[in-house]
Order: sequence, then structure tokens, then C-alpha cells
Amino acid sequence: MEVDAGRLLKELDDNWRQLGKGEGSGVLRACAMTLIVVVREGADVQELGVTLADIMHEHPNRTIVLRVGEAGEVTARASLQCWMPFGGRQQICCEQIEISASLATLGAVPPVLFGLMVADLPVAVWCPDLGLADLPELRPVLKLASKVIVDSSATLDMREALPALQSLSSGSWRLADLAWARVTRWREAMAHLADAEGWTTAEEAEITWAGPGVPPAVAYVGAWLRPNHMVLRCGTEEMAAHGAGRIRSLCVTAKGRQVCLRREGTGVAVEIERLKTGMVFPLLCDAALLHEELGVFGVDAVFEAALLRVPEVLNAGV
Amino acid sequence: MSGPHPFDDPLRFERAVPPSAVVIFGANGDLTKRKLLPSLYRLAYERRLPAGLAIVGVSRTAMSDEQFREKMRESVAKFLEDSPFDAELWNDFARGLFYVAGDIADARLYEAIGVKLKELDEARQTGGNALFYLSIQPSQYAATVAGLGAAGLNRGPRPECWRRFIIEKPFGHDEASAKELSRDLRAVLDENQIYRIDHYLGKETVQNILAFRFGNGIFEPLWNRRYVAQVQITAAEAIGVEGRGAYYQEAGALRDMIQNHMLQVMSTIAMEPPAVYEPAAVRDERAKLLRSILAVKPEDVATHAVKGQYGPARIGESDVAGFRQEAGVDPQAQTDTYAAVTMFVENWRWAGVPFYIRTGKRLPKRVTDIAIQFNQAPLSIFERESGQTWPNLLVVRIQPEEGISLRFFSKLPGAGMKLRPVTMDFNYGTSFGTRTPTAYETLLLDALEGDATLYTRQDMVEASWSAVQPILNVWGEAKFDFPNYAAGSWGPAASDEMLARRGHVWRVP
Repeated sequence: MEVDAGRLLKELDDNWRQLGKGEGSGVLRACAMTLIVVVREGADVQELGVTLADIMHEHPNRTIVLRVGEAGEVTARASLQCWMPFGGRQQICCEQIEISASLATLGAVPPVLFGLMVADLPVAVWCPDLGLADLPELRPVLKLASKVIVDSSATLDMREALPALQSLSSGSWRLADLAWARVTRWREAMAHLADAEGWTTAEEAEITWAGPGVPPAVAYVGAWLRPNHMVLRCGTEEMAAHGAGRIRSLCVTAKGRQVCLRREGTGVAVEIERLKTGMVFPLLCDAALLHEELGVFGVDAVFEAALLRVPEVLNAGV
Repeated sequence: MSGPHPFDDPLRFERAVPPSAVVIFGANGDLTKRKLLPSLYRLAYERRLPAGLAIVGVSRTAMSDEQFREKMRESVAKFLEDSPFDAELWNDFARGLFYVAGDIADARLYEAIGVKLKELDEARQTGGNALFYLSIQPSQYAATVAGLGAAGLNRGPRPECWRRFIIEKPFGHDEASAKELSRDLRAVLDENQIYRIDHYLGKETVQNILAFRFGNGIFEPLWNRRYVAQVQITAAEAIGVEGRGAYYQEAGALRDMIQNHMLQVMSTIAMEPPAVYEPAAVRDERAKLLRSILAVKPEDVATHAVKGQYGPARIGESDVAGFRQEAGVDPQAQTDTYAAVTMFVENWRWAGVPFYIRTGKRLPKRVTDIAIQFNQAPLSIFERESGQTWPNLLVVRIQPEEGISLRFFSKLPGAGMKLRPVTMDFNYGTSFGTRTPTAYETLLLDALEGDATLYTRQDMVEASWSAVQPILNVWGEAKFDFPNYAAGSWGPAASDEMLARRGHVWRVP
């Protein structure tokens, strides 16, 4: 069956009309962007649905889920995702379109997407699977976006992820990596502590982590800190629950003083010389990370600079 | 090395709060329990506070640090808004809580506070910085600040250290006492050390007015006397005085709400654009606007201001007492539980546009909003068909549901040209699903960061008093036949008549 953007939009329009007919319907139509989500056909539908529903609350968007399989024609269907905010009087609804295609038929998808993108609003692509994002067949889809978000954190060692990240960073879009968003709170906490100490540079940094390889999170923090001397140390601990991240501690020394952040359950212990206190670092879900990334449109100079410096960190050895 | 500063990421990081201590006078009071400690705890949860932040509670009641911590734990768990209570975080947070007991008239209290701050500077690395929150009776401000000054606590131990002082309204009970309070404070403190809190300015929607006006290009050209017919600002409460009768009968609605909160809101809605979003620039514009409010002449007070007091009524299944029947209230009280005023701003932008401001207790519902009514279309070609005029209305809702809506005409589907007013809604809470910080979280964080944008400056306080003082003077000399509105109604009939003189009516929010 031929996939027609006009027909899909009409389906959406009909859905809106049906909702509007409800008694005292009070439906609020919200849209701040087009979010194209690219996943493999076997991706967990339920988990993805939860993430998209969560993100919809904070970044109302027209979501286009593109499922890429091994074979098959391009098919599509449209629907509305609605929810009633707690204590609210108005139902909020956002549009969702699902498209299935195979690698062989991906070339036919961009014209459909062109017709479906919301006019005058930004377009973001979220493709959590780094390998899929780097496929040449997907490039025409990525080219539609001003921001492409991947997630390298599933990769055990940054050395394996780096070629794809470097390749994707040379596109016409702005690249973002959820692995970078995962370390924002580590960086922010350290930045605030460094600010209180009056540091302008890290003389020495030591990062420890759980599991094998050099995790992308560690490579990013190291590349961001740019210490004069860096110690990267693989810990003996088991890798923790998904969302907890793999960094176990981050210690920075400057001007003869040391500041440390150490993972402890769902928080971190903060050690500044004799003072020990704590911070909450709850488990992160994809929706929280996407929320952060979708809030950053335009040039993310700090991330881009860190990505460029990752090879230096990896060459420094462990 | 090149590239951005290693510890900086302005796109993602919140501003850093410098190491500091917070000293709360009135630590055993309601505000501390309900607002201040829950807000500070929430800020800690959000990782917005410095690692070694210390909070020193000060009050007369004898208590150990441990007892104070336990008391605050109960309050935080009870009054925390839209947030989980994390026991582990609490344990860390509580380690930074301390308590000093004493009488604010006793010099030894300030010495004890000084000793405690010095200890904390060492033990928790507070950097010698301190924010003093005076959550006490306004009549005690001067003595407390004088005590702090005498103990040398108005200045930090080192030149780079800061000392800031938050005080709560009312800032005086009239123009003269406001000036006197300022003189007392300024004898010890510099103006830039004084943070006069008006929690209305900390509300997200009030801040959003600035974003709405000065972040968009399409509204500002309409924001003037050429297009705006009138502005109505309403702050209605459904509740009565709720046990605060004794306090309230001395204050009244004009002093308690209009002189401070509502004039601050008015200044936000009507001020000129500041050159930059910086404390001095924003506050300068607010102050300018407040100074431009035309003082009502004594002979015009009767036509420009309405004083009301609620009487008993039956609302639903309940009998509601009148103000004079409330506990602690004088049965002959002349207090205004309702006040409505018409104000004019004497500048090129607003000359001739009435700003109607009303507030009251025991009104039909709790609502605060600002309605900007635009002029009718110059030629109403559809008037005959619709039979009614509905000028465009832009409503900025502050509470309970924060948002903005625009009323405009739309054609009814079908044959003929029948028009119907419709609204286009922006709901702040549902458009951004994230939790919005409470006003106290915003304002405490700002004070710790040294950002006074949302705090009131003395010239603003004085200008606000100047605007309402003539009304207070006339009302103080007259005797009113109260009650003049029933609980559960929208106020006295005289209030409707005040608008009717200009052909206007109060909208029903």
C-alpha cells in the first residue's frame, strides 16, 4: 500500500475532530517539535511507549516512530496520544505516527517524513541504537533533523563507539549523545564544588568505574575536565542497575585540595577534605535524558569540544 | 589548552550557589516550618545548594540541635510540595542544621550566633558568607538588625564575604513608618544587603510576564494606551481571615495585598522594557512605573476606591461568619476585607488607561489574574449579526492554574456570519510537565546567589505607599456602614459602580 503523508495527516485531523466532539471536551493540542524516533523492529514497544509518553508531557511533539526491519514494504498509521494532567481540567493530546520500513526501503521514507513534519518547528531524531544511526541507509532521514540524538552508553568501551560518533558528528545536524547527558550531574556537581574552591583548572583527576573497558561516561568526563594529569582506574565492582551509570568516583585535585564524589546507592557522597555530605543521584531513565537533550537546541560547544578530546583521554591509557 | 572553561556548561548547568550559611530568625514559626525549610530541603534535593550549606535556626524556645532537626524533619515531611521525601538525603541535610536559642533583645544572642557562624566557617566551609532571614514580627526588624550590627555580624569576617538580610512584608504600616524602618535598617546595612521579599514576584507566572512581554515581538507593540482599553487585576480569596483576625483587622486588604503584591504585579505588567535582564535594570523600571502611578486626590477617593467588609452568609450547606464575628475581631471593626481601586499611570504608554485592582476575602473563589482588555475593532462590521461586543482579552492567570489565554472572535461553523468568542489557552503547568519551583525556592536561591531582581527595593516600597496613602488617609477618617458585601459574593455594589462610571464592568474570573 502506498504511504501518503496527506492521508496520514487527514487521519490525525479526523482524530482531533472526534476528540473535539466530546462533551466539554477541553482538549489542548500541544506541539513544540517533530520528534522522529528510529528503532529496530524488535525494540521493546512497551518501554519505548513509556518513554515517549513521558517525554510528551515536557516536550509536546508530533512523534514519528520509524521501525526499521530486515524486510517489508513501507507502512504507516496515525494516532493521538492523550493524557489528563493530574488535577487538570483539560486533556492534552499529541500526535503519533508509526512507520515501518526495511533497510532496503528506507530510501522511500524521507519524502513521507517531509510531508509529515510539523511546519515551522524544530525536528529532532532520536536513534538510541548507535549502530543503526550510523548506517548509510539512514542518512537521508538524519538529514531532515536539526538535532540527532544517539546513545553510546550501551557500548562497554568508548573505543568501539568513537568511530560512529565521529562519523555522525560530521553531518549537517547537531549530534547529541545521551551518554553525555548521563554525566551532566557529575559534571555539574564537580563544577559547583570547583567554583566554591575557586579553581579554574583541574590539576589532577581520578575516575573509577565498574565493569570492563573505558565507558563513554568516563571518556566524556575526562575529556570535559582536561586535567593536567589524569588517572583512569577500572574498579572491581559489578556493573550496577541500568540507569545508575558506571562511574563510581570522581576526584579532582587543585591548589593542594581534593574534592571527591563517590557513588553510594542512589546518591553520591561529597568529600571536601574533612567535610562529608551527600547528594541525590537517582537512577536515570531515557525520558529524563531526552528531556535534557531536547532542551538544548543549537550549538552545544561544551559537548562538541569534549567529543573532539575523547581520543586524547583514550590514548592516555588506563 | 583552548576551548571553553573546563568547569562551565551554561547550556546545562544551573548557577552555582557559593558556600554559605542561612540564619533563620523565627525558626520555630509557621513560615519556617511550612515554607523555608521545605524549600531549602527541596533545593538540596535538586542539588542546587553548596555541599557544606549550614542552616542556623534562631528563636526563643530552648532546643538542642537534635531537637531542632527532629522538629524540622516533621515539618519538611509534612509540607514538602510535589516532592518525595528522601530519608537518606534528609540525614545529610540535617547534619547541616543547627540551633541557637535566645531573645532578640539580648546582646548575648548575637554573640552566640557569631560564635556559631565562625565554627561553621571552619567545620562546613561556609566561606564566611551568611544569609539572615528575619521571619519575625516586623516591629522586631530594627532591633534585630541593630543587634546583628552591634555584634559585627552585618559584615563578613573577610572582605570577600557577604552578608544579606531577607525581610518579609509589611514594610511599614504607612508611608512614614516605611521610611522610618528603612532608616533603621540603613543605619546598619547597605541597601544592596537588604532583600525585601514579596513572594508574588517569585511565582513562575509573574516572572513569565516578563518573558511573555519582552521575549516576544508581537505583544509589545499592542501594550499601550492606543490598543489597551483597561486592565483588571484580581486577587480573590475564598477563605476568611482563618484565625488571623487580630492581625488582619490592623492591616486590611489595601495594606495587606494591594500596597505590596498587587502593585508589584501591576509594575511587572506595565513597566517599560529594561535594557538588560539584570537586577538593577529590572528594578529601576519597576520603580519608575510605581512612581508614575497618579496619587488619588482626597476628594477623588470616593470615586476611585471602594472599601468593603464581608458579612455573614449561608454558602451551600454552611453558615459563614461575617468578619466582625470572627475570633479576635472587634465587633465594630472598620477593617477592609475587600478593597478595589482605580489607578492611572502617568506616562506616555498608559496615560488615560484605568488599572482596576481588587482584592478581597470570602469572595466566590480563590483566583489571581490580570486581564488586559483591548479596544474594540475600529469598525464592527459584524456587530449587527452577533448583537454583542466581546473585546479581545488577554488574561494572565497567576493562581490556581498558571497560564495565559487570549479571547478572540471566531465564526460559528455554518451558513451566515455568526461570531462566537473563543479562547486560546496556554497552560503553564501542562505545557511544561516539569515541576515548577515554589516562590520561596526561587527567592531563597536568588538571595543566596545575590540576585535581587525579584526583590523589592526601598524606592519601590515608598512609591507603593505613596500610591495608596491618600486612600488610607481618607478611609482612616471616615466611618463605614459595614458589612457591605455578603460572604461568597464578588464584593460591594459600590465596586461595580466604580467601574460603571467609565462604562466598564468587572469580569468574572
